[in-house]
Amino acid sequence: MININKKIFIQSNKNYLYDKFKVYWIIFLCLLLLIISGISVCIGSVNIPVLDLINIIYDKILGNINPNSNFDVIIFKIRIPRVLLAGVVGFALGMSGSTYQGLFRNNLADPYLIGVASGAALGATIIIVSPIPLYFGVINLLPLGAFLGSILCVMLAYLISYQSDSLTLTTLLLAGIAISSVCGAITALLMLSSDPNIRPVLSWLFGSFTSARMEHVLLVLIYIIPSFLFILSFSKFINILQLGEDHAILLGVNVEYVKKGLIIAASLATAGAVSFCGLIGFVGLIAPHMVRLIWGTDYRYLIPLSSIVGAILLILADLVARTILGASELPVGLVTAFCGGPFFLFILRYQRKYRFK
Amino acid sequence: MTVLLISFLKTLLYFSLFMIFIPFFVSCNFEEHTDKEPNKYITDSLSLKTKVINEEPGFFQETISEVSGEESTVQEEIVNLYPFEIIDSSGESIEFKKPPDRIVAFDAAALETIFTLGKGEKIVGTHDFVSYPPEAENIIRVGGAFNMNIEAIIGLNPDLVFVFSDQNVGNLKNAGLKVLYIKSLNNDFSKISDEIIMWGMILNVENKAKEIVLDFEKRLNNIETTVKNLNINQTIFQDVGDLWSPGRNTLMDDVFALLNVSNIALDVDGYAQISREIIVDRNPDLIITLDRDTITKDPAFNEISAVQKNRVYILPSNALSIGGPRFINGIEELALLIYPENADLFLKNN
Repeated sequence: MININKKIFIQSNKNYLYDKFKVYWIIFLCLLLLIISGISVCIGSVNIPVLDLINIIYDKILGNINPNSNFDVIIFKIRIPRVLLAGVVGFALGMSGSTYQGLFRNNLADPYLIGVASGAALGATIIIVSPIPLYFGVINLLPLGAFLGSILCVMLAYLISYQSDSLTLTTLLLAGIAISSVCGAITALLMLSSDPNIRPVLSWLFGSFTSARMEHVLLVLIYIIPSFLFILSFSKFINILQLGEDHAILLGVNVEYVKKGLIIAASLATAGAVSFCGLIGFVGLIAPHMVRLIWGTDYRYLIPLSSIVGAILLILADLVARTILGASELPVGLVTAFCGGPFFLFILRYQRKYRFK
Repeated sequence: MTVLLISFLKTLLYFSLFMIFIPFFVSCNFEEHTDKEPNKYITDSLSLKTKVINEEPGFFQETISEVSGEESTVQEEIVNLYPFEIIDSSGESIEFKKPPDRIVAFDAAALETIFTLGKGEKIVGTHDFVSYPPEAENIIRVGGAFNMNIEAIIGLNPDLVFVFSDQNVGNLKNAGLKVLYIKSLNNDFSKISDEIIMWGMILNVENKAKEIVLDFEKRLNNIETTVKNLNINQTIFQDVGDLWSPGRNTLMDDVFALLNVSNIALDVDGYAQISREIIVDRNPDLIITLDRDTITKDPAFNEISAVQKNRVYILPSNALSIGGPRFINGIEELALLIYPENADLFLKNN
């Protein structure tokens, strides 16, 4: 007993202020992210030779008009926005996944824990199934519906669990699960009672970056940058919260304030991410776990690291989704589940072997 | 303890979500193109036809001359076909001793065919998504594609239930109902004629059915020759929602081939979501879609020939989505969109 305590003490003492090693890892992962993004821009269902690609980018920078406008459109209006959106969404999912896991002190937590996903699904399904046109002027109503749905669901769960000046996390969790199941039932009902051709709803529910645009990336960034800065600045409090709320209060943390702030920031980031690309499962769950298994549980590093890992994973998954079938697309959510599951199992196994040696 | 409970609930939720959605996805994706073997009933109904012709030599040819000649005097010829057997898509033979009186037509195409044959009053039930003809509005609905209400069907006391998928065939048969299961068409729209003839035989209105089929084929020939004479090849992309598009082995692909337009999604089997890169690269001359805004407001599609020349269309009716007698109207509508300058050539023969 005493030994274990001592070990924890020594470890936390060592990591207390500044971990050079992990900062290097963050820089390395950022570089890896850049390289992977660059590679994914080069690969796609339309084969563009690397020399042409370099020429197009060179011309774009110099402001020349490229004679081969098809390739130009494909690179700048389809591929680059798509890779960027995948990266940004993966970043958001990794970030809110690790935040929720720290906040709820539950390893099964993921960004969709308290109703974001099912609320977004319901909002999107209502927009697709109902006779409302998809476009209102130039505004696409689908992401708007998804965003409103997810925010309303989280707010409902939040209000239900917010009793007499304190936010009980267990109640929030259960309220989120209950609201999720109700929303899931309404979504299924809407799908059953609509036209049999429900493919658009399905491809949205499985997540897809097919219609990614530059504006989408910017809109998602508006939610993600403030949330990221907020969560990062509060990450040391998540570390303290791991001791339990009572201990955190004793240590001088304003627990209520921290909890509320983190939930709002993480939910906003997830809702913003989900609204443009649908429900992409698993990334928000496995990215923090991978980071935790490799680099430890210090949330000051866990949150930025798992955000970057989430971005890398999702860019790779989207690369597979858009190239593996040639001319047609696979929903990226299927790819994350198919590839992410076995990979995660491998990491679990590796970690077990490592630990018991 | 709570943590355990929560984790259990969450796993359950994920699992149930997957359980709910995956079957939809799989069934939607594969229903239309998994069945590669030729439909057995077609050959069988054809052989039935030949049998009839053999019994009464010259019957078929006579009818042709009667109908194609003006002021056709189609007599109400009572051809006593009964009893006869039809072999359905699962290989079982269904015997008909007399025309059925209470039909549950769980298929939009069959319902349309029966109405066109003038026996619409015999239909007592159909599925939730039938929108044509308007007279069918008051027919009792017995469920959608995934939630057929078997009790309601039994309650209607039908003497024939027609279904397009084998999902509930066993249950219906166990309930003691006579079930005719014929898989919905996934390619080769000329088989529509066979289905019309089949319904003509079942309902004892064979002459009427032959009349409709002859008209169908006459109009089809007209389109075919007109298109051949025009000899303009264009490329087309059809968006059936969220850039899902029909590829090879679909009814739409056959229609495109008939109208001499090349489908840009030809390397896809069945229905699939086409990537936007491919659409930009293959640069279709015209686009058929459900919502023009999804194409014209997409900045990546600005340079596409179809958008530049303002040739993004919405089909005027849903005739092409139902493999019934109205299908030919759908083909004509599409022909008018593809060859707007030559509209008179397609219209003058009607």
